Formats: sequence, C-alpha cells, structure tokens
Amino acid sequence: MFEIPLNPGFVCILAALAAFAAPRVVRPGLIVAAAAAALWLMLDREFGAAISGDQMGLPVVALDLDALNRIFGIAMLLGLIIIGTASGARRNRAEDAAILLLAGGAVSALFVGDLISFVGAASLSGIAAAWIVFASPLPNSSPSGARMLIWFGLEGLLFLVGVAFQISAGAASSILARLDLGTIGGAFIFAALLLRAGAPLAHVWIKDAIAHASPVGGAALSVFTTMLGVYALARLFPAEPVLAPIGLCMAAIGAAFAMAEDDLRRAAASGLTAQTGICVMLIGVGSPLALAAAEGHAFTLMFAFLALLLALGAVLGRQGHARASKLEGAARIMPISAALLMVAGLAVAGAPGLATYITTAIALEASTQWLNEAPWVITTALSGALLIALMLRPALQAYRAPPGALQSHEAPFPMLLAIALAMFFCLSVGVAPAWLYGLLPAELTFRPYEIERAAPQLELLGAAGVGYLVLRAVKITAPERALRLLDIDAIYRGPAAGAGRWIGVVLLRVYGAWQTQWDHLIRAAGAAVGRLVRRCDRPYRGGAWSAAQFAAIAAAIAIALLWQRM
Amino acid sequence: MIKPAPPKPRGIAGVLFVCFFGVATAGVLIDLLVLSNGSASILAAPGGRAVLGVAVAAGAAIIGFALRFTLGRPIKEEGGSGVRDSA
Repeated sequence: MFEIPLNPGFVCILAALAAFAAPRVVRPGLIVAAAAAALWLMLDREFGAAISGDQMGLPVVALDLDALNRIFGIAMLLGLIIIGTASGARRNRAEDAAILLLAGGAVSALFVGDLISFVGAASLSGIAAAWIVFASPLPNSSPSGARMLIWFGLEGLLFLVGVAFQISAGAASSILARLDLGTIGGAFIFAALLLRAGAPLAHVWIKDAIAHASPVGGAALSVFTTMLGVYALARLFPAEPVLAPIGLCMAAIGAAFAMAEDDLRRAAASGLTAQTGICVMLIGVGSPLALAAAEGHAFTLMFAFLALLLALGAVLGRQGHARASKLEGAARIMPISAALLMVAGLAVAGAPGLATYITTAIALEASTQWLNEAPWVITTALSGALLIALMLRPALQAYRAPPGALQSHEAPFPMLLAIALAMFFCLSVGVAPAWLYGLLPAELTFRPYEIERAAPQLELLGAAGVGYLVLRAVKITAPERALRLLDIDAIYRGPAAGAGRWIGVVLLRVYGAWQTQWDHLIRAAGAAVGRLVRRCDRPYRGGAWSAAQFAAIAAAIAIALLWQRM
Repeated sequence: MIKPAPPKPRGIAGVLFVCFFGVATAGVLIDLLVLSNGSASILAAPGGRAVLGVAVAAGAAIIGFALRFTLGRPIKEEGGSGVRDSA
C-alpha cells in the first residue's frame, strides 16, 4: 500500500502558511482539504512508530500512531472540517492561518512519540491559540490575547523544566510513556498539563479566551486546547489518584459559573471546563472502563461544544452579543440558529439520543468504581446543571419575544451548515454508538439505551427542567441582568495588576532619581577633572603651586646633571 | 383615557414545562414500576434521580443568586456591533 510517513499535524501547519497567501474564497476549502488530507494520512497507516531517529543522543519520534491518539485525532480533524466550513461565513485571513496552526500544533502533539517533540508542538498550539484571540475583531481581545500568552508562557516554562529533569534521568526517559508524579520532572509536566486542561485556578484562561475570540475562533479553541491536555493526561498520568478530586473540583466550579454567567459564551466555556473535569476525574479513576469513558467523553464533547459555541457565535455575529439578558426575540430574528442552539444545549447536557449521553452513561458506570459516591453524584448532577445553564436559560430568553414584528436576520449559510454538521456527528454517535466503541482503545460492549440507564437520565433531566421552570415561574431564580462575574482572574487583572503598575511607577521614579544624581555626580567629576587638566596645561602661570613645580623640575634636572658628572 | 397595558411577551416556558414534565413522569414511572435496583443510596434508588434533578434546579437558583450577588459586577456597554470582517 502507498503510505506517506508524515505526522498528520504537519499538513495543517503547512496549510497555515498557505492560508496567508490564499484569497478568501479558497481559504475555507484549504482548511477542509488540509483536515481531510491529515485524516487520510492518519487512517491509511498501521499502528506503531513510523518516523524515529536520534538527535544529540535523544530519540525523536515524529509519528507514533495508536488507538489513544487516533480517537483524539479523528475528533480534532473532523472538528477542523466543521470549523473550515464555518470559516466561509466571515473574512479573516489571520484567524484562518491561526486556526490551521492551532490545529496543526495540537494534532502534531497527539501523534509525536517523545517528550521534546510533544512540548514543541503543544507550545506551538498555545501560541496559535493566543494568536486566534489577537486576531478577533471583538473589543478587548488584545489584552485577552496577552493574558493567554502569559498563561501559555508559564505552561511552556513548566514543560521545559519538567522535560529537562526527565531527560537528566537518561535519554530513554524522553519517550512519551507513563510518568511518575513523584519525580520532579513528572510533577512539573503534570502541572503544565493541568494548566492546559483548565484545572481549578487555571480554569479562567479558557473562559477569557473563548469570550474574546471571534465566533469561529471560540469554537476552534474549545476543540484544540483543553482536549489536548486531556489526551496528554490520559497518556502520561493514567490512574493517577489525585486527578479524581481535581476533576471533580473542575466539574463543580464549571457548573456553578455556567449557571450564573450572563455572557453565554463564558457560560459555555465554563460548561466545557465542567465536562473536561469529568474526563480528568475518569482518568484519575483509571480502570480500563474509566479510561475508555474519558476518551469517548472527550470525543463527544468536542462535537457538542463545537455546535454550541458555533450557535452562540452565530447569535454574536448577528446581534453583536450573546448575553442571556439581551437574548429576547432572538428566536424570531434567527429561528434556525435558535433551534440549533437548543439542540446543542441538549447535547452538552447529555440528553438521550445524542452523543454525550452515550459517554455520560459509560462515565456513570465507571465512576462507581471510585472509593466513594462523589464522582457518581457530580457526574449525574452535572447533566441537570448544564441543561439549565446552556439549554433552558438561553431558550427561555431567546423564545421570549416582545410584541410586534421583528425582522428576520438569520446567520450566514456556512455557519448554519457547520452547526448542522456538528449536530450530525452528535446525533450519529448518539443513535449508533457502535462506531465510537470501535475507535476506543479498549474493547467495549455497552448498551446505553437499556431501560435502567435511559429512564433515570430522562427522569433527572425532566425533573431538573420542571424544577427550574417552576422556580422561575414563582420568580425564585435570579433575574437575567447584564453583569460580569468576577473569578480568580480578578486578582491578577485587578489588585495584582494595580500593584504591578504601582511597583512599576515607583521603580521608574527611583530609577529617574538615581539617574539625576548620577548625572550630577558625573558632571561634578568632569568639572573637577577639567579644572585639573586646565591647571596642568598652564603650569607656569602664577601661584605658589606653579613656582613649586618649576623649582622641583629644576632641582630634578640639576640632580641628574650632577649625577652624570660624578 | 387610560391606555391598555402592553401585552406580556410570549415565551415557550409553558411548552417546555409540558415536555419536561412528560419526560420526568415517564422516567419516574419506569424507574418506580419497572426497575428495582435495591440500592442502599437514596440517589441511586428508584425515583432518586428525580430528587437529584429537583435539587439541581434549586441549587441552580441558589448559586445563581449567590454568585451574582457576591461576584457580579455591572458591565459597561461597549460600542460597535461586535463582530466585523477583517483582512
């Protein structure tokens, strides 16, 4: 068989360079073609290392295909096809190139087989993610991009220190395999991956980035950033017990913010953090079923959140905002987008019939293998919480139309097509989960639609919906108001930034004063030297000092002459 | 002359309520009548998911109030339509 041994991610990186030169009409096709070519490269080869060599005594494995990276690769590249379709809805050359570079970096990182190449590819994707935010036409995107660069710079530093310690244990340690959290190198790499996955305290960057990225850019960030962290945790730290509580904290924090945020794209990003937390928790549980559940859940989440963020992006593109408090009448202006938004909300909540239900059911089964009931309870409750946050709240606002006519202004066709494509994958996996099972690294025969699994999920979602609607009817729920919720980033964007500015001003003043004093000192020293030089330049003009000099020189000459005569 | 009050905005809360009530009822009935898993846990017992669902809804209301009260800050209106094409 004809095979090209090339890391599929490199195709996207090369396409990113071409995107700079390509005209607008070509760029969506270029993105889709690059993703299709990368998919072909990946699916057309057997498992195992294909490109490997040595550089400076260290192994470099540019392509190592197995079932774990294949499932993530398929999801990311299908996601890139959907994003390429959506990119036809707008014109932004820099963002197109940045999306391709982000996808290329993330997919390359999936398929490399050594730590150094992984860190290089992951850092490239981090820089591209920040570039996507910089390329956004939304207000305040540049400061947000700068904050992302700081986050990814910190991540890169942790990676570099970790890899340096890891390599110091021997060249073989740089192969991508399970790491020990007890070693310094392992701990630094673990910290970097938690930062990438959006663990508590680092969960703010994904909200910040998605809220400031463009409609298409935000969707791309949801596919290629945190999910790379999930993959790397599954690869390097499977069955690490500390991941279970970290994942549960992510789920709880994400769900809480998703329910209270007014900006629905920030709410969606929080929902993504919550669901990513379930994947992280399952990796921590570490049984074969839990690892399969984590990988499958990451796969389905990519499509569900892609659909949701594209639908919210469609609203943003037409109305200039995606705030729950201002969404009234949106369903009459954009009926198809509003309907797709509702279905996407059901998808992220794990409603039966859609892909995330399948993997949520497996996750629930796997979470019972933990020491206590907390993973099971939080995984179960998260479905209800996300139903309220990302389906009910937007739907109630969007379909609440003020009286009078509203002119229809639907989202562009490429955007609707992209959302429909993402929903197609959600539905197809939801209806026929067998092909997802075929992609999982572990053998799995799981029947999610058995009545003891489907009925309780319907019961939960129905009761959560009824409960919220009743509470809303009696006005016990918080009214939708235009506000922004502070998070942990308020510290570094508020007091810490203020303190930094104050310290900067003080240091500048100290530097200025020191420079002034130094100038005085230099000027005084120069004047003294000048006086001395001038005096030396005219040794015979008046004054006792000149006479003394003259006498001394005459005496020296006389002594020299006498010495010669003697 | 007294002006009539403007009509209230129409929504889909009623439709959604009927749908969710139907789904919840079906789920609870199947859970209670067909399934009997005999779990010691209240939440895993028949009907337990409905209790959890209502608890989640109540939690959503409480968290919504609590977070907005403690962490909410009013936002300034930003000019422009938001998204513009470039390049």
